[in-house]
Amino acid sequence: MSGSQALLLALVMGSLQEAGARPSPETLSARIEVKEQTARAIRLELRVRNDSGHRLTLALGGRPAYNVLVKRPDGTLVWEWQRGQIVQQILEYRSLDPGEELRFEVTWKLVDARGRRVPAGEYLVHGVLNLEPPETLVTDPLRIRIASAKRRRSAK
Amino acid sequence: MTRTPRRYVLVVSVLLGLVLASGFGAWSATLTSQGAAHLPEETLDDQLARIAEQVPGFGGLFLDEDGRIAVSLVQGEVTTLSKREIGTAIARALAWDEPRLRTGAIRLLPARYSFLQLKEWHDRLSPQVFEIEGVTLTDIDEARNQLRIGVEDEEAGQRVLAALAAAGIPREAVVVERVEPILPMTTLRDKVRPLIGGLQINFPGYLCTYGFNAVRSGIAGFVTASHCTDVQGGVENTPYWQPLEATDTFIGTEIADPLYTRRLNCPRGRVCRYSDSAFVQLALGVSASLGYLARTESLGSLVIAGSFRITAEATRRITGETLNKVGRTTGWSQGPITQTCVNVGVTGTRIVLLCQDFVQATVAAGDSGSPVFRIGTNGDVTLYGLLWGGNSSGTSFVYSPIGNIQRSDELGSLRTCATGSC
Repeated sequence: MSGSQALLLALVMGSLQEAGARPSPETLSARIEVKEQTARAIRLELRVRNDSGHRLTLALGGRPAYNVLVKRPDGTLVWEWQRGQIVQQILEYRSLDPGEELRFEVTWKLVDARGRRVPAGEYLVHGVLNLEPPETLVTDPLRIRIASAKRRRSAK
Repeated sequence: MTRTPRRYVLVVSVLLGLVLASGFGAWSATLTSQGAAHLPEETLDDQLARIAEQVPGFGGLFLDEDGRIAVSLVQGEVTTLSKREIGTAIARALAWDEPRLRTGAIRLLPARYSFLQLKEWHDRLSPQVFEIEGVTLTDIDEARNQLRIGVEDEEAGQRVLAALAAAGIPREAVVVERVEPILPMTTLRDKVRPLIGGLQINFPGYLCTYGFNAVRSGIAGFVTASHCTDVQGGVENTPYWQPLEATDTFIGTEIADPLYTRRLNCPRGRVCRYSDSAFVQLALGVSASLGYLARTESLGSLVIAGSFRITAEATRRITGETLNKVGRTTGWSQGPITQTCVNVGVTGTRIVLLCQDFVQATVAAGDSGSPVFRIGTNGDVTLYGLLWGGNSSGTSFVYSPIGNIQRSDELGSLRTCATGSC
């Protein structure tokens, strides 16, 4: 895992005693990566992996518990996957074996919060996993470059 | 009264706090004194009885509305002791180094019953009445010179009166009054019995919130969210524990969770219901208080400080009304209804919930199943529904209205109010 993709950690608990050990900042990694990029959309995948040598228990906050934020380089929020959605307010305990990974997929159709196509340029993408409130696990930003619509069409 | 432990400061609550809490008086007093290490392990009632052995006709001791030490005496029995001697006897029995007792600066009041008589009745009656369901407390009320028995409802009160008559205790010597169930200082995430709305519940792999107690087709149970079952829609006999799975915390089994189906008003390609609700039958031997919800110390708190009593179910909802919820994650929160009768798609599913309401108030994961209610002017509450969803920022929640929950194609008719209230 590269440094830029390394995790930010706010962590976690494991109050179901039998389900596994408490994670520590060294035991979980999270990253977000591009699975597929087309002229109209980018398919993103958030991955959370147990890097410890033992079983861990995560509390996942909400169903779905994941989110993706797209920001401009100055930090302005452009798009949020969960925005406008209603999430079931359940708390799930999930066990992760050593090396096991959770994967969540989100598609960004290159639009802003109002549904307008975003201008060409650089964007920062964060993956977020909601844990036991108010804790969250947030990836370091993934830098992506969006070409102009014209170039996107010609590339196609 | 509880036992007074050795080495602790003796705190003598002269019961007037309870009087005030129950709306019977405008004043209260607490009598405190430094207890010495040699204090015997006896109850306050035992200590007051020792005073009565030394002061014939002693009926009780309390601080009056002006903070004076008031001592009640059965008239005609005390002729030989001076106020100073009475004060000295009290100071000795309570190990209370109070100058006003030494100097006899006490106020004497008439009493009808001696403390010893009240204690004899109390000690005989208490074990009997606590076998009556709905009895919450028994006490010798020193200030009122009577016994006091707290009950949850009228039915329990009637049974207490019958027990009094059978025991030959004069009716006028006892006050029987309604008192909220007494709850220990615990949080919504602790084990709490009897079960009330707003507590944390656990089913395999998940945490949610206990909605409200209900009787459905004669079966005692509780309502929580449909998605707080093993499978949302359909009955899988999901087991529940409160607060977490343990050998002694099993509370019940899911017995009703209607399927999500294509139906009138359901968008094409989706499946619908009018509520995200399921019914759980209580396990044998598990106690629950019908019509009561946990009340926390304040908004945002998880510490239980009492209960809300449900006395009505909402028959209409209006945008702008202030509603409340109590849930295991964010506790008690409150805010206005912002939208009514909204068809809501559930993220990540094909489910659409029909005619749901939005409230602008704090919510977070784990609050699913929370009871939603409005607080009336007298402190009692009207049940509005069951929380199931919220926005990503946790500033707005969605609930299924109680009328929807009780549709014939949902859980059907439920009894949810406190006994005798609606």
